[in-house]
Amino acid sequence: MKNKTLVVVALCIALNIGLGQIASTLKLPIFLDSIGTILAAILLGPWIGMLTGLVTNLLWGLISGPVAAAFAPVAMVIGLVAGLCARKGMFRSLAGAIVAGVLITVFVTLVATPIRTYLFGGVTGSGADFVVAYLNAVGKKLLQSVAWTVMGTNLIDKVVSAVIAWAVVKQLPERIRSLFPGTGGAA
Amino acid sequence: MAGPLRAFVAWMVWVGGSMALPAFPFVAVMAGVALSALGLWRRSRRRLRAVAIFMIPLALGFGLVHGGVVGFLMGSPAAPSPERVRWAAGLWLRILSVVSSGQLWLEYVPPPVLITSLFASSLPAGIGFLLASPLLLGEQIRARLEQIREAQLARGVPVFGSFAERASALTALLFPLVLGLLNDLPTRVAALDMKAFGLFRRRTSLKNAAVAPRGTPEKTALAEEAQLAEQPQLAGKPRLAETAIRLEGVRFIPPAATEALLEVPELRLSSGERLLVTGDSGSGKSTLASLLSGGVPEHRSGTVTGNALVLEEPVASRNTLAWSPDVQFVQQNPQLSLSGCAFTVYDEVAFGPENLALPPDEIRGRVDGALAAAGISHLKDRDPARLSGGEAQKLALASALAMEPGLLVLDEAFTRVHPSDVPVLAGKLAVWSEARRSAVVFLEKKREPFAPWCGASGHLSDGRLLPGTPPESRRTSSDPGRSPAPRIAGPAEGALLRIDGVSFRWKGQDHPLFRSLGKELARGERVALVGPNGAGKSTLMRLCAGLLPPESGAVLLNGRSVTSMNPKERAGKIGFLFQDAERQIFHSTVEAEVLFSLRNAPLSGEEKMERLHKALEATGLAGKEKKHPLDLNAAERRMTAVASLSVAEPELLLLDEPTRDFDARRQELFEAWLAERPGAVLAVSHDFDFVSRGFPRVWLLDDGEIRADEAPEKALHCSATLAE
Repeated sequence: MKNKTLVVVALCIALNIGLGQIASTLKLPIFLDSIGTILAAILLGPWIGMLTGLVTNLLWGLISGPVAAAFAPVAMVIGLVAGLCARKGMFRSLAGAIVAGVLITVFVTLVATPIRTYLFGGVTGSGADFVVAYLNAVGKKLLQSVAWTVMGTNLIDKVVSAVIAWAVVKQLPERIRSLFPGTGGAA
Repeated sequence: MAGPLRAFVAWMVWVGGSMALPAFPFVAVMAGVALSALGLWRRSRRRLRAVAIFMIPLALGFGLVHGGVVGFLMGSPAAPSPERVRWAAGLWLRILSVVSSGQLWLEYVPPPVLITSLFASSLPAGIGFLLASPLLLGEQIRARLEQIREAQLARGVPVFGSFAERASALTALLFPLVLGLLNDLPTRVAALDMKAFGLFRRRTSLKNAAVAPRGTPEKTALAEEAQLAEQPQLAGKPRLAETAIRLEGVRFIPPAATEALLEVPELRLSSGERLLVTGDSGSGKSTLASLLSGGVPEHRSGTVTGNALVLEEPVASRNTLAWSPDVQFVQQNPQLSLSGCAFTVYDEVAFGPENLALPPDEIRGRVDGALAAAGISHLKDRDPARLSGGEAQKLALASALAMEPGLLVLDEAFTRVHPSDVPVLAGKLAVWSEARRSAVVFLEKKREPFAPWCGASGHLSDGRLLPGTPPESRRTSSDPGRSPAPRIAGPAEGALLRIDGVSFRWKGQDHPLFRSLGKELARGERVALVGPNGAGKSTLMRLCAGLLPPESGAVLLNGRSVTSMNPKERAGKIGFLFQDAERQIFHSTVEAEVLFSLRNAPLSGEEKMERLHKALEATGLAGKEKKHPLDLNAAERRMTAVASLSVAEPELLLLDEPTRDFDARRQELFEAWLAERPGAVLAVSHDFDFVSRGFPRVWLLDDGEIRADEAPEKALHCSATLAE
């Protein structure tokens, strides 16, 4: 792998971790921990996006404990879907970026739901558990309850993240933009 | 690798067991064992907290989802089946077992140990890089974020407050951070290339080789000198090339441009010689450095025409990575040249030679020699991310020297080194260059103190490199006649700023930095704040700006405490130019960035534009309104921040090292701008000429007190004595 790719991936991983921490210090109700993954995917494509997501969660695992590593497939699918959306030229406009955010949420739900249901019993130890318990109690299957909750908690976060990544790429100075010729017209 | 790898395999087996074995009694016992091991091992005991923080809310969640609590509250008749409760309890135990054993593994193999062992293993070095670099970058990101937060707070962006305000603050924090990081990308990549990372399939690892003594920790200057003299014997093959640089009719043309950004009619440098090239900011020094190190077109897009030979080979025949064993380029910002793979200064310097797959003993010799030559042997066990600016520049120099290049290009590589150390370093480099027959190119704004060590010199002006010294500069430091006289010489009516019995100490420090400081600054008065490194000059400025609350006492502006004002109001009255002024930039045009300061001002659109144009005129940015601030050079970026201060017309200007990136022309422009300001000015500066020209009064800060409050000559003399 070229040194340029390595440095971009490392920066984006550091961004994921750093921004995740900002969001929690500003007490914002969103995670913002995948903006780096989406950025890497826009700039360097779906495979690099997946790699960024994978290593981010492995590092989270090293810092905070093994649970984050279990969600590595989720982070990878974010990079994959964002990269494919960028190839289709969806990060060319604000509307496209919003649609990409929605698509990412759908695929995140598909991957995160089984992990959360079967490895963690559908429980996170956060406020979202009330929602799961409520949906489960009113007659939805556990898997369905978890899926709706995952969708709900991720939709705003992923759309906001995709929009931020789009705005950042749009604002890149010319000198940097010229380093990424294949950005699917995003820049 | 053996230890950490074996521990990882053992943990994976444990995880497999926790998942597959029947929950009762096996997993229950495993969880108990892991948890008690975590509690019994003294080193890992603090990690019980992390387990508790995760597992207890999880247990509550399990009760909620699987224990039928919600169903019971909603009056649902069916209690949860015992199977489901048993399954949920089992799953919770499985998670407990995995998490506790995971924490044990993390304690046994902390990240730095894991990463060093990854680099020492036969796995591709890229894997180690991807895990190490973000961890080390994290520190830089945190520091940068703090600078950005402060800069935006000083501009009146509400970083605290209502949800809407915090959400809008997010963009003011996030964009400068992300854009700034991406903007540094080419520099970081070039730095990694320069360390030969990925040049060979195999690399040496000192951690793998038998541990040899690294020399005594303390070395006297004499011993360093002796080692420097010995270094040629440690060096490998002698250089064959006689000519280090030969450029003939060379032109560099950026993409989509018709005119050359850099033009070198002729330049020759023999091996073992030193060349000094002077030039203002934006004159093409960095472009020349990039060209000489094979950075075109990979790190700097554009084309080169003409005949460009380095070490008797066409420079275009290799890229930066392939040139790295022979040509080293040290750029201005030392933090960006760190490899991001080393946890100590010693490992950082060794990183490049390790990538060259040299024998361990030669690497050790090179590292010791390079550390001694740069005068940082005493720092070898320090964390590279926590060095001061000057120390970090010496580290960047040592890293380049350890590669033993045939050509060393130094692009303003000493800007943060203490002025008294620079001639020493230049002298050591001259000895090194003679002994190794290596050529050195110094790219600098000023000729001193490098000129005596250089046999050849050239001058860059508007992108054209001509041999010889520059035409006499318009103003020399000993020419008092041209200095712009400050408009208001002495204190005018009433105090604008009152520092009233201010004490301050950093969190966790016993010793206070300031003890009941008292001082006054009159309306329109100009005061320079000087003092040795670490005296707290920047901290005092932050206290004056209301960015830090004093422990006791108060800072009053027009009789009101600055910490009690809200950020917006304060920003209208106090303008702060930070050391890293460009960190605050987050708009994509100069115009938008400057107008941001006026967003709350009660002015009409026309008045705003008028102020904007006046400010751009005064800062030499006229005609660059639509440029991206990050596409400008360092001096112009700082001028963008100056223009932002200018339009807001604050009553008090706080300037922290305002002239660092300026060349003679811009310095003159800046001083003229400053002389025109109606408000009071308090400036931290190491530039004694600048201080003596524009500041009738000087506060000398030392040992927590303002010791002298004098006319400049006397105080500066005092400060110079203290600095030594």
